[in-house]
Amino acid sequence: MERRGARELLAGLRGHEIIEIGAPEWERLRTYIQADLAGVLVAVGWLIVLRLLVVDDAWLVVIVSLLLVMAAFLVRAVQLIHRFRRFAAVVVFALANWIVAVAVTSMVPFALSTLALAVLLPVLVAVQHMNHARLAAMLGATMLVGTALVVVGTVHGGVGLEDQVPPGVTHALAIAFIPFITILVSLAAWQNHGMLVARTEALQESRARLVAAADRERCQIERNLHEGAQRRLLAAAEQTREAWLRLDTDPAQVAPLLARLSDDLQEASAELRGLAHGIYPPQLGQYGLETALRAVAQHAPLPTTVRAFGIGRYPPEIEINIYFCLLEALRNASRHAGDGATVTITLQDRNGLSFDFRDTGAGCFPDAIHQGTGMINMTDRLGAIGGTLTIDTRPGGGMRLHGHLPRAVLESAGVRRAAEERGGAVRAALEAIWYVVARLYTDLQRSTHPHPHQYIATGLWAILGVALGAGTVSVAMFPGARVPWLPALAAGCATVALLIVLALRVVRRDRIERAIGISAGITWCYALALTAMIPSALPYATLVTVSPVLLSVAYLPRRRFKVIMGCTIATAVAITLAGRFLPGVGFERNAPGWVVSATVIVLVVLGLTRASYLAWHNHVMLVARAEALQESRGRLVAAADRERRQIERDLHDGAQQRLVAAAVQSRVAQRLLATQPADVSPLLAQLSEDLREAGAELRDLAHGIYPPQLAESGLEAALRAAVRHSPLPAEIHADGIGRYPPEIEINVYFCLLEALQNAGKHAGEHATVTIDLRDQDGLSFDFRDTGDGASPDLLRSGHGITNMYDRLGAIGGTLTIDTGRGAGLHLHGVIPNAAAPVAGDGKT
Amino acid sequence: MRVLVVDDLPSFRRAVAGVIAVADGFVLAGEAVSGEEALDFIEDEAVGMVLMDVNMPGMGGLEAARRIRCRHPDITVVLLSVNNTEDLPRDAMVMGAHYRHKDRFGPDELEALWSDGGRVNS
Repeated sequence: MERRGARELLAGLRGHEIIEIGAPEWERLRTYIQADLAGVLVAVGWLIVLRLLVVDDAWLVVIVSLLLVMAAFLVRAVQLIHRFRRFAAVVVFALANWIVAVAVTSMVPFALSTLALAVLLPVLVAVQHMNHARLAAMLGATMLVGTALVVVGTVHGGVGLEDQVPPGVTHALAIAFIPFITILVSLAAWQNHGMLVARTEALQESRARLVAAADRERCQIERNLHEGAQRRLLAAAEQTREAWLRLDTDPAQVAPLLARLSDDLQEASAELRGLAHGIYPPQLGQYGLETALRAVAQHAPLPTTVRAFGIGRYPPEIEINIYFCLLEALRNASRHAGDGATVTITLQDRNGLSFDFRDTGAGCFPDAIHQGTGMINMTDRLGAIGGTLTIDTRPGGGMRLHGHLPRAVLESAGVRRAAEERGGAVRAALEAIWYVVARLYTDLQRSTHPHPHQYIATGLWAILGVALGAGTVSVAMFPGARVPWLPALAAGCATVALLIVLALRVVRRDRIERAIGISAGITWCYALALTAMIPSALPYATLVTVSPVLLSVAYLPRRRFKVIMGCTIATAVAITLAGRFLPGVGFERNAPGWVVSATVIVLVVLGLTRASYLAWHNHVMLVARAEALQESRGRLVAAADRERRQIERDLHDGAQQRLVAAAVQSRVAQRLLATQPADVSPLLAQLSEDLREAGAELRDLAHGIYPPQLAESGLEAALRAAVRHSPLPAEIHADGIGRYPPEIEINVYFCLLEALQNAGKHAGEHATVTIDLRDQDGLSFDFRDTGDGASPDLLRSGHGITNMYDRLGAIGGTLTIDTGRGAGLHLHGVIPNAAAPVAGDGKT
Repeated sequence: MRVLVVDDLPSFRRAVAGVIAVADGFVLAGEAVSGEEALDFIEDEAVGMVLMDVNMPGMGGLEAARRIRCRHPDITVVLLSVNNTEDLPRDAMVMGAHYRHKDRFGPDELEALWSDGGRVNS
């Protein structure tokens, strides 16, 4: 039942667990928004108390109402997450933060130091939720809003609220909120850091699971074919022969025999069709997802409704994966949802392809989801084609699965959709702004793909520039102003500059971890010193303080990252205290107003650019590290799906058609027996021969799917059998080879089979092949042919080698190739003992 | 009645030709391997009934049936499939065509089609 109004709002605020196996991103996004909401509500409470007890000013009411509007926005964002609209939620979250930040700063400029970081927060949270283009647009918007914020905060004098409020109150506000937002920023960085590690690991595991599942499936198909259709075919051939033999001796028995034969054939055909249908439903290829799902819904044990909006045809790998995902969900539902449950499946093509599976069944505790393999399979399948799966369930609340394939995935798979996203022009403009900023920044660094050392050096150079500038200004101002602080400031600046020059030398040579540590220390000291001397630089100092933690995301191990986080928060407290309580060197009092404003604006924009660029870099790293694995996983799944389709086609065009034709022939024989008995004999002889051939064909097919020797006698026997059919003479040496876990045996087998087939195709007629299998700390093999060899570039571009890499990679092995023109081909594969980490859980 | 058999798989064409040979009152008019070929055949020769597979490369059985029904409403079109009729997409069903399951096809069913005037639909 849909909840409405206040109850829905409350439920949205409390929230129940949203499950995304392998990457609990929604949960995290919601946590941020809720933390932000808490901060806003605390601020509201504070201001109300202020209004009641201390200051009676109408502007306070305005600020409180603004904050309440922001709170409403944030609640809306939480709701959007519950409706699986992640992008919209991030946008609402960002808009709420930005609008309120600018509005509040225009009224009370002192809030600038608190809100400079608040402007940055949404983009940091968004790093893991957005694609490149969207993140670029968001960074562009962040830069615009940040600039607007600092201009408004320094140029516009506010509404005079600060003068009425006792300084203690503003101090307290700053001391509470600056560290609070720093903590949020650090946490966002921490989670990005976690994602960087977790995503790679999760991808590796998921790839291994998918390969294991595909191999188990092959094995199952082979067993089913062997025990089902193949036996039935042989029995039918025998029956036909018997009928043929009895034509002369016992003609009265032939008619009932033929009747039974035709029934048996019909049954066998139905069985084989069921099997082929389970491997790859023919409607899916012919009519697409919607029709295939409707057919499934008709035979489902639970009443199932399928609704589809704007669904067209998609590349086969997308259709088949979504189909099997929903099939699995339906199976789960009929097993666990209980009697009387109904299922609704909604397919929708809007900003990408999404499906929504709901049942009205018993639901379950979220923990139970993590234990079962069904949901993990679905997540793996969808993940392999670039989608995500979200699960939402409570005991008694039914089950809701939401799968989404982003638009970008569809587009890169060649699906064109005319529907244009709203706000395309705005997005393009924001994107352009970001690319200009990024270009300026990278020009400054003299490299587009900077090494982390480069980042650190740039940061240090920037500080050096500021220190030298400040020193020069103070020396220049001293003759006129005669303030004793100025020479001291100049001396401090010179010391900092010297330290930085020393640090730059160390950083360029040392390990990255130490380099980050040194630069972080200098950065924080600089932030603290700067705020102590020039309190109005506090907003810049907050941005500078968080830059080490952003830099560390991609480079530090977990433990050190925690240290950096702790120091960042401590520094945030220190700079706030310094900025609020220390008098400074008198820069604000002595310099002209416009100089102070201009300095603050330039500094804040500089700090914001650096922080934004670091966020961008983290995003690039997040994507790049996962990309290779993601592609390998996608290829493996696509290969397995192609294989399924091929098996289905082979069954459909081969054995199944023969069975259908045989069933029809048997009826013709029955009729002939009554009308022209003389013609029956040749027909039955032909029929018996046909059935025998069909049986042999099916045996060959099953053998190609999963060689029975592999399970029975192991790798060596299976390879020897494969070599017998090879066009090239091949030798196998396999001394001391025992049995290995099935996922290792089958992957090595298919890898070598692929190599053998490649050699047969490309090595030339007179080549010979040697395969050496050895057991040394795991299984290793050497495959050599004496053929023509190939250039390494050519090899890399071919499918065969990539398949082998993927297959061995999935079980934790490695493959090395050694070849050259005329030098033959040498493949060396190693599968260490500790490989195949998920083999155990894959079997459940 | 002259019957045209359309199927891309020779084994089934041969089986259906056998059915036509033994069923009363039916003569094999010809064989075609695709919908396109069937349409050409009908233009040149007189045909009373078309026995056609649903799944064929090219335009496929459903589209071919639709065109035959459109141009020659007097020809009985029987679509043969190994799948159940309800698994076909709703908008793909051809008006006026008959659907029969390949598994159950035989002389009896062919004669029943004729004697009922093709009104019984499976």
